[in-house]
Amino acid sequence: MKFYTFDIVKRALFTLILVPVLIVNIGAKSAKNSFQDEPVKVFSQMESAINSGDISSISRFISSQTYISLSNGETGYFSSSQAYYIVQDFFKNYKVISFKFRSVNDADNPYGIGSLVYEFRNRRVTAQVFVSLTKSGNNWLISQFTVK
Amino acid sequence: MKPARPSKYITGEKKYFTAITLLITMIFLAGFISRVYLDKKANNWDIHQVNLSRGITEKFKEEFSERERAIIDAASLLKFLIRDHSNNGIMQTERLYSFAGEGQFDNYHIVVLDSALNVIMVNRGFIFLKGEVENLSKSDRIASSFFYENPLASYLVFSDTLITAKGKYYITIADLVNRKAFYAEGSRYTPLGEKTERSSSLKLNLSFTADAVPNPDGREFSSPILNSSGKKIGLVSFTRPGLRNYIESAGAPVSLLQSLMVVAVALLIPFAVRRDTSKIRQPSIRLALVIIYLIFLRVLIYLLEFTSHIFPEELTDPAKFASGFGLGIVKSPIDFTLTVIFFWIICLLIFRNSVKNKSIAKASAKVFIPVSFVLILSIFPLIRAYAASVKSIIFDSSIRYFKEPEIFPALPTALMNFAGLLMSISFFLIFVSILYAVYSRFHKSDKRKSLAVLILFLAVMSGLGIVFIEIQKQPLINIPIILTIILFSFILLFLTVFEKKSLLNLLWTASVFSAVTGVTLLNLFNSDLERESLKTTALEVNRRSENLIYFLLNESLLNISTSPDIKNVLNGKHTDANSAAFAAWSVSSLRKEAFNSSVTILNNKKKPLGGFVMNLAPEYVDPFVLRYLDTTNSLVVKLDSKEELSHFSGITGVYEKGELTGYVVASVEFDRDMIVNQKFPEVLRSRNIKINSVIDPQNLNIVVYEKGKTKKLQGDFYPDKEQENIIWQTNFAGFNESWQTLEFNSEKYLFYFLKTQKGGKERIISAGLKEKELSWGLFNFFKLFILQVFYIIIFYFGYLVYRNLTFTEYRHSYRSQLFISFLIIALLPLIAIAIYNRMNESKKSLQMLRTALVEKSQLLENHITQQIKSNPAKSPETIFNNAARELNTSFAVYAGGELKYSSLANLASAGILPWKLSPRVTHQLLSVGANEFFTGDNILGESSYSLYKKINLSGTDYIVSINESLNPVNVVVTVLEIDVFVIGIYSFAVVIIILLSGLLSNRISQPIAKLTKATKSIAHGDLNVNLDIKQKGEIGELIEGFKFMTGEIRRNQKELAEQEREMAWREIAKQVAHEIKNPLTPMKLSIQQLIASHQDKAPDFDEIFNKITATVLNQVDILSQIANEFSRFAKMPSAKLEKIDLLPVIRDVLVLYTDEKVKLTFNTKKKKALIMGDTSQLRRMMINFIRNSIQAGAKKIQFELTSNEEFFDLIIADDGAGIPEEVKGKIFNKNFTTKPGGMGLGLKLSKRFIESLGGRLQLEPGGDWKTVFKVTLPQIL
Repeated sequence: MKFYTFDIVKRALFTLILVPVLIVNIGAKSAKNSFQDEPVKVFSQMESAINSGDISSISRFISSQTYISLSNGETGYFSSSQAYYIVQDFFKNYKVISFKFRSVNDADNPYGIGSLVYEFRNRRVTAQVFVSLTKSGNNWLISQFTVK
Repeated sequence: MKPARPSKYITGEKKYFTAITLLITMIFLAGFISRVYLDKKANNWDIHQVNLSRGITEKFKEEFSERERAIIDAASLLKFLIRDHSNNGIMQTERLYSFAGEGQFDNYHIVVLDSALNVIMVNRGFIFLKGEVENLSKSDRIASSFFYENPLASYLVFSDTLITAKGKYYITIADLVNRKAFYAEGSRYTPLGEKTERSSSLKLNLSFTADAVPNPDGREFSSPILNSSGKKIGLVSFTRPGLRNYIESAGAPVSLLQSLMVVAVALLIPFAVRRDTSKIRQPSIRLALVIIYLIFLRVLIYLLEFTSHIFPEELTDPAKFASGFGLGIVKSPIDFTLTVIFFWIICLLIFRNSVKNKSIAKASAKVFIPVSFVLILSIFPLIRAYAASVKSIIFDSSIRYFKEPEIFPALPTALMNFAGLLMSISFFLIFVSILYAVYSRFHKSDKRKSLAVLILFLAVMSGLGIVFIEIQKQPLINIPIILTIILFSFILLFLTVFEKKSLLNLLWTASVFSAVTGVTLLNLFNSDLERESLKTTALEVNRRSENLIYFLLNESLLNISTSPDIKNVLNGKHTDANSAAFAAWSVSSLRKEAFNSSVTILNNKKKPLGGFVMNLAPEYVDPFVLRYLDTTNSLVVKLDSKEELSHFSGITGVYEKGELTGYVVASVEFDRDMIVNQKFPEVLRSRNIKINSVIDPQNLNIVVYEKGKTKKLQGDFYPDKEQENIIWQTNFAGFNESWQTLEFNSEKYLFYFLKTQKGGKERIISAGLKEKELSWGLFNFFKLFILQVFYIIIFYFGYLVYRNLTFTEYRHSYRSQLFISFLIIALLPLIAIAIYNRMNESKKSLQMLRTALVEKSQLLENHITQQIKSNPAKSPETIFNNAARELNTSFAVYAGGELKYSSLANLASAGILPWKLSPRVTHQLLSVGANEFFTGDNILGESSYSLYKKINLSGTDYIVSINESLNPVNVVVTVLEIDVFVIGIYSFAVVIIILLSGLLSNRISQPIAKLTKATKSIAHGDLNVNLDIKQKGEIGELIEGFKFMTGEIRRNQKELAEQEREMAWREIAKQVAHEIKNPLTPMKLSIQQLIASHQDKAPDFDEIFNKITATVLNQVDILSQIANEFSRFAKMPSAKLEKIDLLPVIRDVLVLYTDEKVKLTFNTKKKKALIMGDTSQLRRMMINFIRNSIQAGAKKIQFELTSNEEFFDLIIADDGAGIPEEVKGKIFNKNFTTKPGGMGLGLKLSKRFIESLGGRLQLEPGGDWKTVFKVTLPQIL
């Protein structure tokens, strides 16, 4: 029996597959790179990421060992996927106007303290940010990310 | 047939395409219109901004009026209740409290004063400060709402009077509108302005004083808050809406509408292309298209991101659950649930397709062998994927499924449980589909052999499962679990193949299996999570550093210094500095991190005005050093440091309108090794912040190792020297961590070790747990199992109700009546017992709590009495302090209805503990004369119970109050445990009852159902029914009687048919004999005459001879004609072959049956089908087939014409009774018939006719149809 319906199938498949198929992606976040980042570089990247709203560029620094405490009440240790989406959601709802680390310390236990100005419900708010890093293998990871 | 007239309406697929086009147009139109509208607004922004601001103010006024109306109505209702029930004008206290306990007053604080301004009723903690009570009776406050503020909260208050025969009463109702201090999480409260804020996406600034003035800064828009009397009682302000924000918020509903329309378009697509897709013959292609479409739809919903606009925040919060799978397609509980629903639909379709089509089983061996090999092996990675998905539910979630305090949990947890169950069912459907696809090839009609093959298959899969686990380095699950999954899958396969269960029954069984395996896996992974959480415990020990303390202190000072209440204390508007300090402290990081800390308010001369202290020594509260340092700017200093303990203090100025009005000092005690601050009151802890929310903190063992010093922080584990050496010699690899099992007191402990560096010193932090505490228990299992069974029962009963309402035959069927009867008989008493037990156990639990508090109060009383005896001169305060310290009990003491002492002096001074005793308590203990009174209470919004006890010390009556929130009491069995036990056991019993009821009702009703079916078959003329039921009793007799009756009817029909056939042949023979006799007689006479003439030598012999021979020949012709007629009667006439088109011949035959109760369809893609044939014989043949099908009980007959290179294939298929296996080989035999009146010639003649045309007639395997004939005819090319 001939495959009479090929034309229809071809048309249907072409139409439907126009939308990118996203499902086949296990553990879809960007993989952690193994190259070494200096703490100062990490803080610098964080600053750019938060200012631009592109959290995916710092997702590799977020892990299940990151303690998160945000001014919207989210506090605690989360899985790396959760932590990423929590931070992403936070910066989606609290629109960043500016963020800058005003002091960075890159000793054995590097940390940075900064000021975050954001807008929430038409109101401009200044919050204090504390970020500390810890070394895991060859990589620096965020051990604490606090926005108060 | 006349062609159909075109309809004046758009019908068929056209209407869907029209709808799609309309929707797409509307999408663009909505975008265009909103753009134009917003641009217009932007151009006149100034005017629009003012209008917008006025609109927001109006919205707020509506919200305020609503709240005000509610409390005014509540006051009226209370007045009515009291007036209506007052007995001779006396206000009975208990009656008052019973009215206040009515549901309508749940959210309000009620105070009732008598004419002497004595408080006679307070329902939920006294909110009015000392000296404020009298103000409630002031005339300007009566029948008029106003705002009342204490340092902890603001209220909207309404006071009214009630005049009875006994006098005047003042009734005050207060609604909490704003919290300034920390309140227990979960206590209900709606801030005033919240609705307006949400709808306008703006933050409102509310002032609750009548003299509030607008901010001169032009950026704010202000409006007075007027009560129902038109009097100004407050002020509402907000930053004027910005254009960008306005465009975003105004555009949001349009975006949402557009998203919904896009989804509607996507939902209409399948209907629009239905005709095209129905032409696809290959079921697997159709299935693939449907799956791709469903994936497309799910991705579309995800990309449009409108779930956050539709569903509540708690369901879209990634903190509840978020997995990285699929780039965010499961990044919240609702996203996960939606994805699982789509996945479930796909798995259901795959399952149905697998069972219906058996395409793999039917394939050739060359295809079947490799495909089945791949399929079988794919099951194991799928099982791993299933386990990984369940693991993600545990690991990627902050929901602690096994620690939820309620048996029926909060919405996110309930949703995740539901999604987990659905996901498990989906995986089981996939497993069964794969097994079915392979096994169905080997399934034969011999049940025993097939069962043996099934069991062999199960054994092979089980063996492979064990191998799969063993070869993995890190298997997610263990051997018993994989064997259970395989066994359950095979049971489902058995039910599908052998028992031929309906889809609903299979789903029900699959649901129960899924609940069992799903909950088992959740339990297993929860144990893994407990192990992993030892990591976070160690990290938490290491998290706090001096750097963090500096940051938190600075940040706290910054926030506290901007607190309006602090400013009001410093500018004299507020007198209660302690409460203001507490309020500021309670919302700061100092409380959230559970530090021993303090906040002190100093005036501009650095003199302390008040403060709040939580477990901090006085020298750190207001340290001298800060008075003398330059503190123009904020300053944080380290006061001291002794080993792990350090103290920090900071100071900052408070400014108002640029002028320094005072200072705030905040101090913190930093214990580097403190995990949980045991001295911190539980009621002040944030529920969300726990050191480890996975493991019960009491089970944690935490030890810190430093060179030369080992410190046990928590638990009972303490390492010996040898163990310490092993730990220090451990290789921590690149990640500074390791795992080890250590033994202590014959118990094994699993420890996680984290190596850190602090101040140049190396430290190892270890967190561990007894290994036996990692194993899961039945309690955990039942806790979740209950919920999943609940979902299954809801679905199942919902479906039963639906079936009963819509299908009358189902409702009245014997089986369903039996089933429902069993359920009612078994479940009703069970439910009654469960409810009774639950009520009793709840009461018992409360009773146990009361007993525990009574014991504490007794110990307290004895201790106090003993102190007085030993030293009567001691002051009451000293006595109480000693008792609190030595008994480790927190309590308060009242005298004269007012608070005189609290062991938690800081909370008392902050106004958290009520300064006035509830009149109900005084009534019970002093008027009624009870010795103690156990009642509900409320501290910082958290409901609890308190015991009040009357004691007499040196002739003075005191009332001691002990509250459970401030004195955690270990109840032997919690309400949760009761619920799990009662409901868990009973739900398990419910499942067993439902299963057994189903089985029993099936078993009992099956013979009746078969009998009913057999009767229907006989009514349709099929007497070859075989009832293979072995039953005893009345049913057995009924069946035997039926079989006998059927046999008799069959025999009688056969005899009748034989007789009729015989009679018919006799008749024909008689007729033939008669017809033959007619010409024979004259023939005989003629021959006799000829003989006589010849013998007589008649002169006209020649003439006679001619005449007689002519007669004889004539009669022979007649005989020949008779024989021909008989022959034509007996056989089909010879075919008249000519070139004909099959299509109209078939269509004309089908038209003959349009009025019959059978559906005839003709499918073909051919436009013409030319053969050499005889039209009338072809027609007769097709009529014969149709008649046979109708007589076999067919409801549908399908004609399908296809072709290959040389031949046409005409498939004639019906769904009638089918042809039994044993007669299939005989149907083309002459005179063979199964019909009582049949000649047995139809199929034989049809076959002969077709073969005469050079074609073939065959009986084909049924497949989806019961009987299938294939007529093959050569084409004319």
